[in-house]
Amino acid sequence: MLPIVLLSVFGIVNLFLGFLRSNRVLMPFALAMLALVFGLTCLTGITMV
Amino acid sequence: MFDVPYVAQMLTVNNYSVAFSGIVLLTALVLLPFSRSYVAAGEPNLAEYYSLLLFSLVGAIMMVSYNHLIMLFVGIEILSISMYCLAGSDKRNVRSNEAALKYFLQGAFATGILLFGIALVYGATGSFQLDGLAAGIAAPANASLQPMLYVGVLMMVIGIGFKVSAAPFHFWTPDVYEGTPTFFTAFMSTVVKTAGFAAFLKLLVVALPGTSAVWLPTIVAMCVLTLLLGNVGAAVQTSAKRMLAYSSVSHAGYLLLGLVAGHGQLSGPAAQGIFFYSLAYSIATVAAFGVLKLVADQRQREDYAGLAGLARTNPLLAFVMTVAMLSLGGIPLTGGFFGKFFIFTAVASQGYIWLVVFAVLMSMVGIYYYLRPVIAMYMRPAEPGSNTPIVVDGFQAATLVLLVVLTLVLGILPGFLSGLL
Repeated sequence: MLPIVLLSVFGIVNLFLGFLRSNRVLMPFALAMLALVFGLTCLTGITMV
Repeated sequence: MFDVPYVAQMLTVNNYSVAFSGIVLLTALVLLPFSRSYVAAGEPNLAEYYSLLLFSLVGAIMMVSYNHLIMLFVGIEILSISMYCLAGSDKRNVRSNEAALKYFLQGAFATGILLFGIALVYGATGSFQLDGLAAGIAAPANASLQPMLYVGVLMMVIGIGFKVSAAPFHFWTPDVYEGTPTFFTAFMSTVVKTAGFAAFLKLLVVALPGTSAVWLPTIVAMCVLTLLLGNVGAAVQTSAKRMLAYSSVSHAGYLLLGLVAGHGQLSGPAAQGIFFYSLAYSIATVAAFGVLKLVADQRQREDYAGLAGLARTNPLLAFVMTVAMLSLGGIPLTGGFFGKFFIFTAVASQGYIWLVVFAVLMSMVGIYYYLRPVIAMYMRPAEPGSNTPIVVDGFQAATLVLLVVLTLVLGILPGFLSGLL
C-alpha cells in the first residue's frame, strides 16, 4: 500500500516542480523517489520471506 | 502465503504482489536514465512526463495487488490513461500522434469489453472479490446463469488479451510501438506487459479456476497464434524498433504459456516461471531499447542499417545490444534462457508437450531475427555519415553495464530468485 501512496504523492510533487523545466533536477528527483519506493518494496519482500 | 489486506480487502499485499511490484519498479528505475536526451530537445513538459510515469506505476502496482475486480479495472485505467498521453508526448511528430490515437481507441475498446465481462461475471456470481467469485463459480446459486458467466469470462480474457497484445488482439502493437517515443515504448513493452500478465494469472488462478474448461482452450489458441504471428512478423521486419515490437508480441505468447500451466495455484512453477521470465525479459528489453534510443537519437534512424558498424564506433553499446538479443532469444548463460526453461518445464509437467515443441520451434525463428542486429553491428560497415561514435554519458553507460550484469547473473545463478513465489 505504501508504494501506491508514495508514488502518487511524488507524482504530484513532481508536477509542482514543473516550473523548473530542468531535467537535471526532475530526473534525479524521480530516480531518487523510485529508488526509495523500490527499496521499501524490497524490504517488505525480505520481511515476508 | 503471507496476505495483508488493504482498502476494505480490495488490495492485498503478499509475496506475489511484492515480487511483481519489484519488477515494475526496478524496470522503471533502470529505464529512467535514458530520458536524459529530453534536455537537448528542450522539452517543455518534462515534469508532466515524469509524473505520468510515476502515476502509471501506481496503476501497475494496483494491477498486481488487486483482490477485487473494480480495483483491477481502476489499476488498468490509471496505467492505460497515463500511457495514452505518453504515447503522444512527441506532439510535433505525426506518428506519435497516430500512435496515441490508435492506442487510445483500441484501449477504450478493450476496456469496454473487459468492463462488460466483469459485469456479466458479477451478475452470475454476485461478487467482485476474487475468493467470492471462486466460491460463486464452485457453488452456483442459479445454474441458468452459467452461459452468462462463461460469456463474461471470455470477454474478460479478450479485454486483458488486448492489453497484453496477445494475438489476435495484437494488431495495434507494431504501429503504436513504432510511433511512440522510444523511451516510452520501452516502458510500455515492459511495465505494462509485466503488470498485465501478473493480473491475468491472478484472475485465472484465484478467481476463475472453476471455469478453466472455457478459458483454457481459449488461452491455448491465443498462445499458438501469438507465438506464430509474433515470431513470423518479427522475422520479416527491416526496422529494429518494429522488430522489437513484434518480438514483444511473441514474448506475450511465451508468457501465455505460463498461464496455460498456471491453473490451480499462485505460488507454483508457472507463477515462478512468469515471474522469472518477466524479470529477464524486462531487463533485456530495457537494454535493447536503451541502445536503440541512443542510436536513433544521434543517427536519426531505427532500422538495422542504423546499427551497422556500431561494434567499431561504440563497442560497449554493441556488446550490451548483443547480450540483450541473446537473452531475448533464450540463449544459455542469459536470463532469457532460464525464463523460457522454467515456463516450458511448467507447461510440459501439465502434459502440453506439443505446445512446448511448438514454442521451441518458434524460439528458433526468434534466434534468426535476434541475430540480425548483431550481424549488422559486428559484420557490416557503418553507413556513410554514421561513422561518428554515439555519445553516451557515464550514468547511461553504468546503467547499461548493470543491465548486462543482471542478465548474466540471472542466467548463471537463477536459483536465488526462484524461491520468491
